[in-house]
Amino acid sequence: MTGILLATAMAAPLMDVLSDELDRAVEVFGAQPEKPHYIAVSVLEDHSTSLSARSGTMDFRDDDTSRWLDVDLRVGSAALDSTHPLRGFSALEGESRGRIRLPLTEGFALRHALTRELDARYREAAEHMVVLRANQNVLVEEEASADDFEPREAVQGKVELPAGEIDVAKWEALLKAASARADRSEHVHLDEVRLKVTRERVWFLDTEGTRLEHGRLHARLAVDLSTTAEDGDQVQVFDAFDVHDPASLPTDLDDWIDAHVERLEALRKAPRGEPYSGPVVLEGRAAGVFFHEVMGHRVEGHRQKREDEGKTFAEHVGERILPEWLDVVDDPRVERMADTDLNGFYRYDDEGVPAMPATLVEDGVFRGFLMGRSPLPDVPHTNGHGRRSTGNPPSSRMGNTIVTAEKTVSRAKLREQLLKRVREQGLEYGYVVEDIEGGFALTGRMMPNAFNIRAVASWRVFADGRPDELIRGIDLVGTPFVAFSNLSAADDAPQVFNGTCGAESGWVPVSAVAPAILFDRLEFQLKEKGQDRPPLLPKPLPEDDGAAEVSE
Amino acid sequence: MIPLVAALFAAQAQDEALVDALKAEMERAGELKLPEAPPLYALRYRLAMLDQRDLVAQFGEVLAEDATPYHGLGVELRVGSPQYDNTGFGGWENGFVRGSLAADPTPHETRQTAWRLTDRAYKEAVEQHARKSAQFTAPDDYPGDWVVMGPLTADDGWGELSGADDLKARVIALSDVFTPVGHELLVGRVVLGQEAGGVVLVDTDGSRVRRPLEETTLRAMAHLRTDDGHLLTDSRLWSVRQPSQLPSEAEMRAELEAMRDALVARADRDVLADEYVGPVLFEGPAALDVFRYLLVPQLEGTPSEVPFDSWFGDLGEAKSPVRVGRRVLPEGWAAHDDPTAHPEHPSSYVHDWEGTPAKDVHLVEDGIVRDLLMSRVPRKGLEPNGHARGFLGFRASGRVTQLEVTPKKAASHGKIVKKGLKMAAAYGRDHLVVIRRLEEDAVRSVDATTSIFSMGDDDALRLPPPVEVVKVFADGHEEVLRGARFASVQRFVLRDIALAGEQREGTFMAPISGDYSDLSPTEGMPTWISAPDILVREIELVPAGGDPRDRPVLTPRAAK
Repeated sequence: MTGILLATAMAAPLMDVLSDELDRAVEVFGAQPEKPHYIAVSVLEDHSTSLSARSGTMDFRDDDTSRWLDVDLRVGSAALDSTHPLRGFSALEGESRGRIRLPLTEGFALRHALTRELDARYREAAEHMVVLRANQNVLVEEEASADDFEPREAVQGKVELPAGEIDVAKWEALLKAASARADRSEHVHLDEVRLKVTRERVWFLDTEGTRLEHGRLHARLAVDLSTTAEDGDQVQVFDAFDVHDPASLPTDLDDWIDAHVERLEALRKAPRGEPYSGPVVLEGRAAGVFFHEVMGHRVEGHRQKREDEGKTFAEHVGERILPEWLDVVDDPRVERMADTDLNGFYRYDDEGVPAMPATLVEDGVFRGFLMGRSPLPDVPHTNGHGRRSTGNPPSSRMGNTIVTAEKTVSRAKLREQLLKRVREQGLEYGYVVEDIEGGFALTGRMMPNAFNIRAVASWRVFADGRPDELIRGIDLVGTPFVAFSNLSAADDAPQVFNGTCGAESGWVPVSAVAPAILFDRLEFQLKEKGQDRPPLLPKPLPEDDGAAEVSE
Repeated sequence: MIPLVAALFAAQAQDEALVDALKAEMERAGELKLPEAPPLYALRYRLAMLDQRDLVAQFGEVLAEDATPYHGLGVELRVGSPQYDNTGFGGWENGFVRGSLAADPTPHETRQTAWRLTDRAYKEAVEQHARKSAQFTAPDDYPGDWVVMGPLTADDGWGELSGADDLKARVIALSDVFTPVGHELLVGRVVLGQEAGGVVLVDTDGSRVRRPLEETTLRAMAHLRTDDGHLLTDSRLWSVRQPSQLPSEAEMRAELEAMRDALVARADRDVLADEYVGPVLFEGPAALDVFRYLLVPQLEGTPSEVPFDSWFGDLGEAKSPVRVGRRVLPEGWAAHDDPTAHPEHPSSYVHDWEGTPAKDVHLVEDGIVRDLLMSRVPRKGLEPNGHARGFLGFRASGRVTQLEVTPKKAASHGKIVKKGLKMAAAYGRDHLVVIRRLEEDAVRSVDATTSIFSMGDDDALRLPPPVEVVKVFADGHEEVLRGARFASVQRFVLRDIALAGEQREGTFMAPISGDYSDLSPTEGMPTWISAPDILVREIELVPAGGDPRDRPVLTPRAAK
């Protein structure tokens, strides 16, 4: 792990190099007819240690450090600049931006790469401005007229990161043993147990004078098991621990592995569900993803400015959209909740703005949007949610989306309420969605403004008291307002979903925290189904190859 | 960085254990049987164990570095019969699959991977056989899909990686050659790709062939944007078995310095102003490239796949037809390919990718194609000749490996120029055009996303643009131009060679499948080629300038 120490030692010179080249770019571009009004330079240094085991042996090991450059350059003025979306046929204009790798040293090669990217971004922005002016001239006025950029006071900050070192030999042994344990099941067709420790350092500077050095330490321990059911369904079980400090990861993995093997085998045998409409309880993790997809993406500020977006909540600020006992806030500053580290934690966003809480819903009333530095007509300020993965321009994104219920019931009471709704609606059973793998939302105008929560494990809960039945093969679907109007109760034990969210500005780590929530009515649709027969021959087990002793 | 350990997986004992695991799974595969499916008649496993190293250095600094070994398993499964099986038909779910093996492979993990891949390959093969049967009825003279040869056994050794640490310093130092003019360049880079180890082939015929892979490839490249927006690129390639075979660092540095200086000087040259039609002398690497692009595809004889008529169009390879008996070179010319001729070259092998012993194939005699390079996929009247090249998961095909093209007679350089000038005069020109190097698509793609091949021609055989165009006058003085590309290039160009000159040799990287533009700078199969300089009676060149909008506004400061 010497790379980490080396990188830390070189932090100051890198900022100096970046600052020097930025100053020069300002001078050169300032002499051009099209002038930038803002330039930001960001360098991400990513040191990751990846270990992965399968079939009781090390499948992959890597220790890598890489640096990536992003230049955000705006030509024009804060009121109208080169990031303004084009409309109509001109919107087909190409973009050349991509991931730019930098050397780990601060010599000529780094300066060269930075200069080239500054130049490329400038020329593209200047060209865009020419087309944009004509676009504005030719087409009707836009629905939402707001500035393209919010100038801000400079921010200075430096955050030291812990080293995050791990004992590689110890972890290899743990992963191999865990993998070997999963491999003992004849039905686990592929097992992977992975650890990835990532230490990201960020250097950010801009023409407003902001200078930031910060970053993120993250570790993920994950198990990923898969099989093919008799009906052809590809059944997968995935679970992960996401932590800010690898030292806090569990090291006794037996029960964890056993539980997921057991779950995979149960899911393999479980029947597929059916299209359904009726009462549903979303467990906390599933409810968190529900809010992420149904609300979160729709309240991203930049979507309120695009002519092709659905703008679901744009006209509902100050109106009740949820029960009065529910609050929703996105607060990236929260490091930990419900005994779980939050993946969406950060100190500064990717536009150099300190993270701030964004109140989305208060007492059931919609209050506002997730904002980066692209203002809305009535929302002139960022709330520190401008995010991206390298190679993309930042846009407003979620961090930690936290749903809080003031009025809660116990878990047992929530189940009682579910069964009551089932009986009231004359149904045989209701559903509890226990585990999900993520979801997606359509927010544009050309497609239905629907959401899909990708359920992995759901339970039928029968009105007549029969034992609950595990179900696979169904996804939760719906539209936002109808879904919200059916929300009726929450339990008192919030859970955390940690994941990575993909959108226009790339993949960013996020969390969603929510209690279990009862909906009077939600809808399931059939999930796509695999068509492959299970393997024709039985899986070679460790004992077939005399591998048990080696693996354990 | 994970230390690079030479021959980490070369231990034969480990190979043996993994191969035994594969054999156990191969034996079990005999039980694979779906109702009414054609029988499995051939199953081949290829176990690839390669130490690999990739390094990219730009202007004296490391840009990227990786040393992750590659352990892979390829499965080739055939159902039906050798006369008609699931192969040779378009599409990609066809019974050829591959997967990675663990970093620390064990017999158990290897066997499980084989189990998963074989199951997939079998199901693919059965369905592909049905698709093929539904759309393709073999004609009476169909040569079949596979040549049965019985068990093949060989142990050709195992490759080892050496000198890796020394090379890192050299790559960095060589990339630093570009630093003094770095402020004028877009790219000044040296890329290293190394792999060593080998592949073990086992099959249901009882074959067991162990063959080494050993390759160290360096590609140096520089790109420059002229004031009028023209992108100039140049590159040098070294591909050897072992680092010790490379020229000295001083020699490599000198070559790159010369390339660098010529590139910078070229920026100030005039652009080809008018279309040129007339004789062209291809010298050195440019001559080799003419044969690479125009002759090589006419010598590789594996039949194209029958196209799969899918709902979105035909799927399958789109190769130009190759024919025995076709004149491809002037009278008296010859070409042969012998993979064993230069054992020191990384392309060399004793047994091909399919385990067939390599043969010296006399491809062209008296300018006419007499034989073709063949894999075990048959072609009417031709036998396998040990020229199958490929990689895991692909259908291997007959490919050029070590090609030597020789003229009936060679003329001196002076005589060629004199003859060229005389021919040029017939076109009303006072000079002969000489081209010494063509651009390299795999290099250009580092900084440009589009292929550099001439557009608009109606033949699949095309030439990349020349690095520079040199006008040679009768008094011997030269004038260098830039900004040209070839037009209307056809394979018949090679029949139009007026004179041959000095015999040259070199290496190019051949794509395993697809096009040269798909390759990264060090990717592909090293291929040795030897051919003479050539004076071609008529070539068309047209201006190909740049776009001034591409000219940088902000250029780097000169390195201190």
